[in-house]
Amino acid sequence: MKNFILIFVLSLSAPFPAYAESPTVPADVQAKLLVKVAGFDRNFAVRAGDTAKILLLKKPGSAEGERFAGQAVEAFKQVGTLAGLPLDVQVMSAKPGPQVTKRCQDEKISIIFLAPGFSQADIQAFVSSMSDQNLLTVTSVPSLVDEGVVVGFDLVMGKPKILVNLGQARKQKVALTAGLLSLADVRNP
Amino acid sequence: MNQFISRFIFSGLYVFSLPLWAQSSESSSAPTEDLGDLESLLSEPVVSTASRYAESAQSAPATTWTITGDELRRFGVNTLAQALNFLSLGMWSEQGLDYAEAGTRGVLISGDYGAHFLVIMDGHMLNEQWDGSAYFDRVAALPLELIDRIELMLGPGSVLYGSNAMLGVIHIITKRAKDLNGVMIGVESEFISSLRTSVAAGKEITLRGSPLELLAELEFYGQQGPAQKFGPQDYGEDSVTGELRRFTRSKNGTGVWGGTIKKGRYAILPGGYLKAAWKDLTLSVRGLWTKRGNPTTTYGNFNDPKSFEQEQWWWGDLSYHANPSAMLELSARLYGDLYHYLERLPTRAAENCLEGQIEGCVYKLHGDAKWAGLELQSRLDWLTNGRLVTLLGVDSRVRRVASLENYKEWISKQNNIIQEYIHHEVAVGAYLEQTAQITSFWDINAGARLDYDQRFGVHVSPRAATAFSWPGDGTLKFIYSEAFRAPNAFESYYADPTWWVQSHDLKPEIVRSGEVVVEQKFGVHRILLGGFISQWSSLISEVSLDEDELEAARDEGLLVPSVEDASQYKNLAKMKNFGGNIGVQGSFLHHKLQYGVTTTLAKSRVYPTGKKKFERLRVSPRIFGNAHISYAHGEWWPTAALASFIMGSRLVDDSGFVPWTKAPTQWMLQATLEGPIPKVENLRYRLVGSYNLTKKTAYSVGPFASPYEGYNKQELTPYDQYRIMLGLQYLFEF
Repeated sequence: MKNFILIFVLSLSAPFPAYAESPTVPADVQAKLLVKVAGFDRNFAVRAGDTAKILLLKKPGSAEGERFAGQAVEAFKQVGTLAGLPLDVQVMSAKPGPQVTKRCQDEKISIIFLAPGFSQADIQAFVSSMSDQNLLTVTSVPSLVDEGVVVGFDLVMGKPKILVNLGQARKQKVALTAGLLSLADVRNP
Repeated sequence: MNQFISRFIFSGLYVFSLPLWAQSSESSSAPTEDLGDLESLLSEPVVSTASRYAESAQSAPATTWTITGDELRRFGVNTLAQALNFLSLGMWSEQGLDYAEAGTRGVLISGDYGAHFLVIMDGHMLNEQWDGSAYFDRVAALPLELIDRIELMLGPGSVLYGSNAMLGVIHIITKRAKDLNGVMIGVESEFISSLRTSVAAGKEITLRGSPLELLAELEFYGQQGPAQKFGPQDYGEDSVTGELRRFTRSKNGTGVWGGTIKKGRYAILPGGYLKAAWKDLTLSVRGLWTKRGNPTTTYGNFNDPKSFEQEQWWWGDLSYHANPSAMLELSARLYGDLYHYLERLPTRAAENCLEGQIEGCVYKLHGDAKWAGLELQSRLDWLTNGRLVTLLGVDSRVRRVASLENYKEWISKQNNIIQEYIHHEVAVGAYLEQTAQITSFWDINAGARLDYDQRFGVHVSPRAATAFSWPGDGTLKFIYSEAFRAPNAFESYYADPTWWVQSHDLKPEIVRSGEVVVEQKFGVHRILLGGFISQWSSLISEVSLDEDELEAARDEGLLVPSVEDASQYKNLAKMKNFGGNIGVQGSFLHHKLQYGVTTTLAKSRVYPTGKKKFERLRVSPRIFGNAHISYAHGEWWPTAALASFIMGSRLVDDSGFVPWTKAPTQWMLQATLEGPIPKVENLRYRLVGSYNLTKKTAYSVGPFASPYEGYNKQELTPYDQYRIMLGLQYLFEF
């Protein structure tokens, strides 16, 4: 009991990082949804080639991001494939920026999945660097869709909901089908 | 029974006849994409009640069912009782005159004031700590406009929640501020007996660079009537005065109980709720004041507006969540409640009063509870991949409970306090839950909670569950769980030297339950089949003392020497219950058409003395179920919804009549039209009509609720046969 209270008090005394919102949908459910959603991108097959590569980006030092990434990777392992292609999930601990963009180009990454922990400022810089890229970006935190991430997942009345930033999707050459958009909450049309 | 079956089949056919043509029209214009798997994932509820963290309902180690805020509005639901009847699986409510009791899987313990359920709102317990009561009717004063969803967890839930969670856990979860993003003003009236006004607001602002979410609601509900006719029941003489008994304030008694009630039937209810979330902190505060008339009590005057129950309740809850490492999550919750209850029963009948109070008296029962607690919880994801997780928590609470009973003489106003106590108590619960994903298709979950309470000592509540899933969204679960209810303050401390001996060694009531659940999804359609069995023991019941016990109590000074009959609470009764339930829900036409059907069959036997002789459980049907369907065309068209609830016959409460009196099969229908007012942006209406095909409830009323010499007829409380409600709601968007 004493150790428990000690850990709790120590965590309170630690300096507050810039606030980052938490996801509302469990990591395993998000991973399964992402795999399905990506299959409804008409440009995905061309973008992916013979392997569906996902870069799971976590913020350095974010405990929540670290945990989310681990749970998502486990769920991706159980799914195994995406749109009929073998799934290759790579985890990278970095802030969005040129380093990430270069890796995506070098490794032919087709999806970037952002773990929780990134602030709005991180995402704003990330979105502007993505505008000319041919890439599907997905966030685990629903509010970041309004900041420019193409797809996110929210919990509405106890059920998962897909959020789509359609304007950003066009910039990033993501062509989601009408059927999928009919199931989603579309922002920035 | 035949009538019940035919009505239920009719309801089911009605529900399914519409989708049959809807499905064919859907097929003819079906899109070429196969969205089935994705829609299936999107239709899977995410629940947080069973394990105290978010998980899909299929993974949860319990049978869960979710009712959304949209469904509450769509089907014209205004109370938790209506939500259980029209929209739940396995739970139901039995309605009295203006109060409701609830049960699960064929078990309803009448007269428990909801104490065998644990009701929570945003993690805060809504069972008060004096009597353990929870409410299902208007008095619960739920902030309807703020409800995002209600999660129902069927069966024992003490493993993570402690006392009261025997029949289930009902968790009301409110929205986030951005889900409302404006100020919503509403007014609703049930013609012509009630009016409800509400102001709800949600707004997200920025505080020190981080979002601050504010969500609030103020509401007022007032009811008068409607009128109902009772009796006449020819009671005769007052046993103390020998004159015709008085049932009203008049000095001249008629000996007859009954008449038309209206002025004595009322409710007033202002209340408010505020939730603020900033970074990892969440604060919620609630205030509530209720007063409702008690016009048909036989301990007070008939239809007397000054015969009422009144409650005041304030509570606050502050929680904090932290992520110190990838493996560890911590949370802390500090809470406090102030609760006061008053029951006031004026009576001109001398036989209801103390010796010497010939002109009558005003009986007052005060109940008071103040409590505060701190709950600390940690969640360890050992492999940081969700496959091996330990939940560890401790909830410690201090309580002050007090009560006072007063018989104030009618003429002189002299107080006569016959029972008074104040107790300070401590209760601590520590819980542990371990989950393990053995393979991609096999999960196990085991846990236990140890509770210490000054009222009963120590008790352990375990749970074990395992789930197997298969490709195509199917799951098979096996669950064993136990729960308990601590003796409440009244049961533990009440004493009256004229007729009641305090119980000093009451133990908790216990339920042990096993269940098997199969769930299968077909795209957006979900079918759940379950079987259950439960054993209840140590049920607290009122027991008459035998001669030896009476003599011992008199010797100890616990009873006055002249007393020849007295009672005491004891852990004596047992109960067995088993049955099954089926639930089907889904949608067609891209979710425009939504439907649900549930049925529960159960058999319950109660052993009042704990020995072999058993009885059928009162106020509990052997079969009940509901069916609902709604169609939302969109644009300016209204959403049309129809809900139906059917409950088989059941024994009435407090019946000592031979043979037992049965309440007839009940069938309720509720139709709702809800939609925007054309050409007036942000203004919506809701028109609800409900009809009870049955006239009588399962509750007896009047002085002849129990057998009386020469009188063998039992009167049952009538239902309000029909209600029509019209509401308007305007949203000022930010």
